[in-house]
Amino acid sequence: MTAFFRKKKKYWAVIVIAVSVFFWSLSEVMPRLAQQLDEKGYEEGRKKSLGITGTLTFEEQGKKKKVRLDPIRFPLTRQSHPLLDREKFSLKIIALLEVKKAGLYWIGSDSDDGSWIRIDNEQVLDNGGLHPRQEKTNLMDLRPGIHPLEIRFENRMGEAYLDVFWIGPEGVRSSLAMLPHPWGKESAFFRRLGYLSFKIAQYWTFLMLPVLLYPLLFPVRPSEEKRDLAD
Amino acid sequence: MHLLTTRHHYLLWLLAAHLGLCIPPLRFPAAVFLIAFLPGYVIQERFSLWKDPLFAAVGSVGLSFLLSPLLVLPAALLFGKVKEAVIVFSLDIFFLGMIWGQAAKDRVTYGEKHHSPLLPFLLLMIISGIFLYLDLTGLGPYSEDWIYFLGIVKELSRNMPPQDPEASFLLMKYPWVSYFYSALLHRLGGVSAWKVLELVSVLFGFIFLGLVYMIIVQVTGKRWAGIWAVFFLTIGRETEWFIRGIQGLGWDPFYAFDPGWAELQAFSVYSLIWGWYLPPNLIVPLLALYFFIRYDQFGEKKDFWFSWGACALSCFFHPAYYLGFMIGYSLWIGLQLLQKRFRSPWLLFYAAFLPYFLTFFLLLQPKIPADPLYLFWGDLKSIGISIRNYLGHNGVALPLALAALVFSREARTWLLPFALPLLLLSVLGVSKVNHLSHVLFPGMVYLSLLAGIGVEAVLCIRRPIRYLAYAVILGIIVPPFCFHLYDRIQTGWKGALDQEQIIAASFIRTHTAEDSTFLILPNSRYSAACIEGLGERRLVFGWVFHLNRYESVEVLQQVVGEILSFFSHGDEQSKKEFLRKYKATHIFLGPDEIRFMKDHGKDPAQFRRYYPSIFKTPQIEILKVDEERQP
Repeated sequence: MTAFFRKKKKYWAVIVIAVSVFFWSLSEVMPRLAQQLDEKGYEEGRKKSLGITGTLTFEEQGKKKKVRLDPIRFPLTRQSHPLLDREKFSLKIIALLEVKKAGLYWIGSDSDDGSWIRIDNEQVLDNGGLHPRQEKTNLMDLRPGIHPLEIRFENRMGEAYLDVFWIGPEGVRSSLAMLPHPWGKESAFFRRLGYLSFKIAQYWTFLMLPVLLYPLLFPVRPSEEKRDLAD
Repeated sequence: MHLLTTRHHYLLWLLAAHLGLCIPPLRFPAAVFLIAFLPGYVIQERFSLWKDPLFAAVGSVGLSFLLSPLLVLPAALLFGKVKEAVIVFSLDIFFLGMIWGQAAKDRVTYGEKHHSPLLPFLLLMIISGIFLYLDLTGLGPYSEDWIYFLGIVKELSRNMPPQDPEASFLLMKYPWVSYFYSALLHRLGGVSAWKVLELVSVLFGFIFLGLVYMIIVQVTGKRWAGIWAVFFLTIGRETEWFIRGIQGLGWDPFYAFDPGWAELQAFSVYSLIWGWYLPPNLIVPLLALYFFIRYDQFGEKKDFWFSWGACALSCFFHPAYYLGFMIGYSLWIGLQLLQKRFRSPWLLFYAAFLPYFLTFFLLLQPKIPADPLYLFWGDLKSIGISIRNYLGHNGVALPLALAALVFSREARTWLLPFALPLLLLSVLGVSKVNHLSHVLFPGMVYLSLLAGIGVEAVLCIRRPIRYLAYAVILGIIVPPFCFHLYDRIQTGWKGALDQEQIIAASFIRTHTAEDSTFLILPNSRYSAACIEGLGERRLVFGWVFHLNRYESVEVLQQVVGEILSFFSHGDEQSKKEFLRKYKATHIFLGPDEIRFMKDHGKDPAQFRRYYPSIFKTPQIEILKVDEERQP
């Protein structure tokens, strides 16, 4: 195998560098693209005065179904929407969080059963599990501007309840300042793709770059190389 | 005739490294190339140390690990700080000196290339053992030692000679050379200290596993023996579940065992993940051993001096590991004497301790520790438990090591004297404050070397049966490895940080000066993790077991008493004097401090009168020591 790489040295070098550059660039470009989409979503949401929407997943007659839930109003209960009036379901909401003042914010959820909140692609709250109404909060340092927000909620049995809130630097508890994000799915996809590209680039570079530099730094005598190729 | 002479070749690489330093995305790789590769590369080519390219690659990184801190240290001491320019200037002087002394001859080329296919294998093992594991489980300063070592790296990158990051009143006496290497990469690479520790694990893992392979090849000439030893050190040798199965307690590879903190590192892949923690201390004695084996085999003087040099530096990296090596070495000399093969230069190795004695003991004058480092002999019951544990964690390696000793004369000559004392100490010795890792870890490495040779010695049998035996060995050691990984993903790391610590640390990093000193309650892991671990700042007093080896207990008790008095009572004037004496710039009130104050009937709010609050969350408050507002 090493003989092959030595023989096709130039192609090999081009492939290693091209793959590295491609994935590093992707990891840089994708989050920026996602940010552009967030801003676009923010503008569109305001212009068209859209409501917060979510994707509801449930089982009906043994088949998994996904439907769009529009609009969503908190607190969310089984009575909030006819589609929610069932034992088992999960709901994913992608929106934008508008922060006006920088500072420490308590982000919280009150849910029956599990709920999870991600802000800026990072999980900030895990209120998961099978439980009655349970409130959990976590602290976050937020900067002014818009932040991608993802809320996951699941009901496994019995009553369902979800409310999300925050306590700002002034100490006032209020509902999360959520804005609709018509491009939320695409933005989340680009962010995930960016992260994946970063990981591929990291693994690829650490594995392949030393292998590429190796023959340059430690050249083998031509006679040895010839013998190796003949083998 | 090559177009490039050796001089051109070096100058070109040097230029490339400098260019990389000027381009932000390439800054860290360029710093790694300049600090962690080029010095060793130039030296090994100058002295023609290796003919095989893979050995030369491992040797280049390994020798750079020894050389770079030494090369930068004089200038750093002279300027009182490790600045980027100081690092580059020191290394450039060395490179230019080496290049100047080099004859303008053709480029050095390498004759042998039998071991090159191992390079991707080594890289794969390291990448899956470090990056993949960390991506799946996460990493953070989750124990007192992690926090301390991170503190040392940060301190070395900002101050020279360094203060102890956990004792603002002490010069650093902990052997810090390997952390200086990380500090150089942190400073020149422009990457956070925490990220550097994660990344140097890759470098240390490469040297460590590469050296293990090289030693076996040097001793036996067998490639597969080396690969098996690398396997044993990467995946582990855990056999507990298999022994339980034989005992009729059920065949459960996910049998939940808790070998304890020190053992956990020594016995499993953790030694590789925490590559900056254990391997760096052992790399130097292993280098000394490798060169010494070569010297004894071929009698070349350069090998003797490289071995001696590595041995002399070893104590600066970690004296306990140096002592472990010297115990084995003494036994080796004893055996040579018995065989009437004694050579007088061998005794020179005992003089390798002199540089350490002259600098460390005479300059820093550490106090005699109150606790003995090792209590050599345990009671019968604990010895029984130790033997049972040792068998459980190494069962698969022990019979193979025994086979190596029976079938391989080289293993008996070279590795037995080093493995035996450490093995006996691991089983018979009783340790205090985690010092088992000093004995266990090197012992495990020598045992793995023997086991690697043993696999090849025993399994010289027909192919299908040999492969079956290989599968059985892997079948024993791989499932517990998977369990570790699965369990860690499920449960997370013990002592993981909470959100408030992370936010407070981020505030500390961005809003306080680099040389700030924080006052916390002594031995508070919560506060130390936040300030020293993530916040990268110094403490007035951290954890007593990091300091009691180098400072007398009376002094430490006095400081602890003063801090406790500061938080519990004392008038404002004495508090002011205390803060001035220990150069504290901030007071940290975390859960431990607040609980302590409340237990002593004090209200933390009373501090705010003289020390303004600059950060506050429900659990944490940071106060600034303001000279003007003090009484």
